[in-house]
Amino acid sequence: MLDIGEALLKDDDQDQYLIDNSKLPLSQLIPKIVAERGRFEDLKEDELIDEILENHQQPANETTVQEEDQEDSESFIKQKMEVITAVQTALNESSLLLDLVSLLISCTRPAAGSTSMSPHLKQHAKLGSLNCDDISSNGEVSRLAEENKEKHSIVGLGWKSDALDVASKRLLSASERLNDEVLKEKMYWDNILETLEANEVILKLNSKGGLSNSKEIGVKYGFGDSGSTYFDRGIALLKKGRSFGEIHFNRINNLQVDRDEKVVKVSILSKVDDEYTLTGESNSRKYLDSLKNFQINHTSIVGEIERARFFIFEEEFFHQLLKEATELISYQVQVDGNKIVVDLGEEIIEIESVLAETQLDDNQVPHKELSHNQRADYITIFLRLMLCAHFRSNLENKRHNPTALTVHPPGTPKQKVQLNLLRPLIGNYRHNKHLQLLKNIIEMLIRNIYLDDEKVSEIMGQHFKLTKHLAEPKSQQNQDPFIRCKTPPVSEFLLELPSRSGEFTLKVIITVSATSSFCGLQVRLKMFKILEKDSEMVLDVTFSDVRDVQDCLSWSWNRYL
Amino acid sequence: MQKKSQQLMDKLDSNVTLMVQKYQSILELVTSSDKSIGTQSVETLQIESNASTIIRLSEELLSMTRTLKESWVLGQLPKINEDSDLSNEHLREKMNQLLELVSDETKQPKEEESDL
Repeated sequence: MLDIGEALLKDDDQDQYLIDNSKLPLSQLIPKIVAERGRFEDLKEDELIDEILENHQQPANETTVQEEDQEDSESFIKQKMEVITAVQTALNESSLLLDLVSLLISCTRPAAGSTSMSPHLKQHAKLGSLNCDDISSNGEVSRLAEENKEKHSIVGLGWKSDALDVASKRLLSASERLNDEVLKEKMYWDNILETLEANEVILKLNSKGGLSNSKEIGVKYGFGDSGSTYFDRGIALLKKGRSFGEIHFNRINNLQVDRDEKVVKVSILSKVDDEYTLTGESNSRKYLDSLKNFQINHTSIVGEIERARFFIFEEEFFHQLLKEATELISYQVQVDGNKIVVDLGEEIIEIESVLAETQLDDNQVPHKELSHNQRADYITIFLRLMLCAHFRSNLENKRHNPTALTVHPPGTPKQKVQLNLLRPLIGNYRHNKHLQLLKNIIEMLIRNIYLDDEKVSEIMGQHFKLTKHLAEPKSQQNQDPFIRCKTPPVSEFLLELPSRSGEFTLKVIITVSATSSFCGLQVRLKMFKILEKDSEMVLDVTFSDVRDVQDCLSWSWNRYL
Repeated sequence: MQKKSQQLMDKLDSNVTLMVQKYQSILELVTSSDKSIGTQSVETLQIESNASTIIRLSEELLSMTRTLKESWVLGQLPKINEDSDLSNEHLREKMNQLLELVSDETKQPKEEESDL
């Protein structure tokens, strides 16, 4: 091979494109040899000697073959040269064409034209100096063009009439759709206005649960802004119905469950012959009936809001009762499943939350005429009103100025209003019982001392005085109507007993008060010995049990009188 | 508020003008005197797009009415019912009476109570 190359190099028709190995620099020659022969390690001396010998023998033996080869290679080189010239011509032509096009383009887009233009042309021709025009031909061609034009105008007319059709159909359908939409909107806003007229609070809400994240109008039906601390603030979305635009009332609550409509029911069990029998039941039918009537008399949406409000109140009502009842376990208040049992000694008050539907159905829950029915009703009314009072105090608490940070270090919880629903009821009931008991005890003790019925009735009639509600602040204008219910009761017995010898009178003041939790008892006993000119305190003790008071009274009266 | 109402008025005006313009342009595009086939095909599409624009503009007007209603409705405060006939004093008496009734089973109501 190397020899052939050398021979070719010596030839006149030397291939100028073949590279001469001997002229190559060493840095290029070595990689070339490696590429031809393989790795340098694989080269063996014997093989190289054989190869050199072979090369030297060949010219002697195969001269004819060499001549044929020479002819072949000559024609190959000739053809190669032809191809190369052709390619060069093509390259030349295309660059000329590029120049022409660039010059043409440079009329309209000089920047694009100048980039592809050759530097020679740039020197000799101005940018945009070449222009072109459509050459209209006459005769046959123009006739054809005329025909085409006619055809085109007909096609164009067809297209346009089609487009007009489409446009008119679109406008028509849109007008129908928008008309429907307007009717729906009217319906929707009429309903919203009705809700507004019913004095509901309307607000803008992010729609939840829907596909879109649009703003929607909602209504606040609950007591979230009225002092309630219940988790459900009572907010509902007023969604527009898809078909007629009527309003749908969708409650928003954190628990995505349908809650049952329940009402609170109070039952009274009285002790008769050591057994508790049902003597009174509250009747929630009155409320449910009026709710129904309200719904009949009002539009559906206002009725629905009213209904939701009624039941959210009942729900929270029972929730708050349960919450309070769990704190009152030391005062014989038990929470048994879904029922609050208040043991008052003589009677038991049971408070439970029952399904509203069952209350309306006479077959399921027949309403009996019982002696304490009305009292049970009063108890429900009282508890409900106390919840309202609680809301009110919450609101008033909010209205206070915030305390300075220095007074309460950050992190201390805000002082909450104590929940007083059951406490006033139980407290006042117990207080009355205690008063009754004490009165009986006093009467009995007096009877024991004087042993004279006339004297006893005289003392009890003239020298015995019971003053109630001492803790209650004295009447002011615009006083809180619930003030008596909110303050633990305090009463006072005032008794003047003449000594049997007639030397002095013993003035006895017994103050019966409830603790701040309403239910505990505190009795303060004061006794004064009143002489003609002088008085002397003989006793000032505090008790927390009625029996102790009895013992003390019995002992002291026996001693002093 | 002043700014918002001005915006709404401007929007109303511009929408109405645009609607009229688009309608006018449909009518202009209908004629096809000596226009090339390319131009005519573009014009047909323009007619359709103009119709769609008119629809969109009228939809916008409808949504404007909704915005107006919303701001009207949400800008109102509910009236507060002042029960003048039920004074605090009266309420307090009733409440105290109720407390008596509730806390003493021997008491009977003197008159029919109809609170709540």
